Amino acid sequence: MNKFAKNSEYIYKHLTNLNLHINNIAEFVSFNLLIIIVVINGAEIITRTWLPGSLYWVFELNQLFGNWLYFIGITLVYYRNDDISIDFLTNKLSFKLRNIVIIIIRLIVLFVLIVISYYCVDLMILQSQARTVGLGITNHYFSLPVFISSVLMILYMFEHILVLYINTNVNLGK
Amino acid sequence: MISAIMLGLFLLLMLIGMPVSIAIMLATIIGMLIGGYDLLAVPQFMAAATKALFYLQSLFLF
Repeated sequence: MNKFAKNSEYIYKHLTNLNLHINNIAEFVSFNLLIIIVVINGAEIITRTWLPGSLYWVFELNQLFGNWLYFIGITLVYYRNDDISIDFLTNKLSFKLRNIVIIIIRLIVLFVLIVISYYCVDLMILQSQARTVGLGITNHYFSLPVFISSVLMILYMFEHILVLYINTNVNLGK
Repeated sequence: MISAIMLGLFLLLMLIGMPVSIAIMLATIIGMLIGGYDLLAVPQFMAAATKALFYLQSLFLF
């Protein structure tokens, strides 16, 4: 086994551990956010229908928590590598060629996520100068989950690439 | 024309096994680059697109 392969296994081992912990936190956060969203909307419906007045803050919090729920939630899909894809053509390839194609696809995914996170930082800097009308929440809190989810998905994708690389090496007897 | 390129790219990327969310994003990024748009709009629209959440909530509440 060459030095690069040994280093890959070392990084993979630690990255897997890190990603597992991050995924547990993401699961906890998204699960609780969903509960909060349902509860505050239920409260709004009750107050609006049967009590005088309305909970004016629900609208903005809905959008804020909704963004966090969506973008933290999608990382759970990427952790399991379960996003919808068509494997019809890649399944027809030989083992080695298929793994090479999948590694290339994952590198492209990695690139796209890096682009998104880069532009997200620019967007957050711009948005930090504005606040929402009702609660005065700084606008960059609405884009922050997009950045966090991109970074988390980069970590997961890196792990998926490493595992594929190691498996290919093991199966080819290197 | 750009819409056609984006649609074609999306279908091509899907066929080679790209995950659907990334295929959409990559086709959008390439389409915007061809059209000369600033890519800052990509995360902005992503963050703004969650307004449909209210329809999802109605499923839980009613």
